[in-house]
Amino acid sequence: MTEQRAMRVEVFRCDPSEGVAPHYERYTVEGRPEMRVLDVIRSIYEEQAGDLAFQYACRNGRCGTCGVKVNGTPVLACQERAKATMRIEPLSPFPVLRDLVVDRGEVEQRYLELELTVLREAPHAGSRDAVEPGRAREIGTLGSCISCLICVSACPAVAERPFDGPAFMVQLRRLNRNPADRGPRLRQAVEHGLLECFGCDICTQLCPADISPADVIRGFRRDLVLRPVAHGSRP
Amino acid sequence: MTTRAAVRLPRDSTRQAEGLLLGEIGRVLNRWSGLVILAFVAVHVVGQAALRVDALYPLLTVAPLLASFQGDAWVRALLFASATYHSLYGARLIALELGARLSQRGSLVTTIAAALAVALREVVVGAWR
Repeated sequence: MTEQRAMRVEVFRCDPSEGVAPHYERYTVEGRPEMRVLDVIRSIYEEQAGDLAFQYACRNGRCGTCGVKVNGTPVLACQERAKATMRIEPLSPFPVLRDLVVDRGEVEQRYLELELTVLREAPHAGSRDAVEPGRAREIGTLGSCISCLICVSACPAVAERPFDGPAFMVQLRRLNRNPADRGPRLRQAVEHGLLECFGCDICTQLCPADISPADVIRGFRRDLVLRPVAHGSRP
Repeated sequence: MTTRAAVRLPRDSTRQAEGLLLGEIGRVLNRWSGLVILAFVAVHVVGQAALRVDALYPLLTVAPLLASFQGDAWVRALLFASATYHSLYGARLIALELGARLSQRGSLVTTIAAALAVALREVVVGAWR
């Protein structure tokens, strides 16, 4: 017989479209100890609250859509182990659409404004770009950002200062390190709050894609001092 | 290469919400230690001004500790611990910006331990005086 345990869960509920004010609802879920937070949310949805709104897609930490706060810490619900006592909330500081679903519209808009594709001086030559292997590995790693916004939600500088967040810096750095890109990535990074980062490394500790956004920001800052003109990046 | 973490972190991606956010602890301590230093300087300036400016002398009758609080062992312990922590934390940030690779837990524990050692010394020396 498999071991079962009872979990006491508080879930943030809110529906601005129906005028339901933000509040927490309590549920008790029976399940195996290795359950993930997403399993608990789905259990609540299927058995206790069919109107609970939440998001997920891949269930293996690659799509970045199931980000929630568990006991105050932003995590991917599909990766995080369920706790005996949990408070599950939507990611802050994003506007809540309903329950655990946040509006990512503003984030998507900012991504659009940053033109996060390779901006070339001349049209694409139709051949592969020559990239030094170490640099290619770095670009590939930065490209593995899943835009889950956990780093943005956890970042204390985003909450206090005009800083868009570590995820934006990662995207800009990915292009900044691409030799073919001629976009003003360093200037964009500065405009979007590069210098506001506290250097606390919370983003690195929580990143589900194992990227170090804090190190990306430090790299940008070193460039700002040492190589401000590189790749048309004069701020 | 910028993708390798500058700080080595204790990490378990399935238990993120259980671990301490060491960066947040360090940052909050840095902020509080800065506030302690600022508060000390502000009170110290007022106290010294009260001693030297006749118009402010009546302040000492209201708060006589203004002129002597910096001699209190606990005040000195708090101040020196804050100054130590704030300096070392700042040095750590600069080192990381320059490309140094440090253990986040190790550097935080070292910084806190150094601050506590300085505070303890002030308390012990203060009690001995």
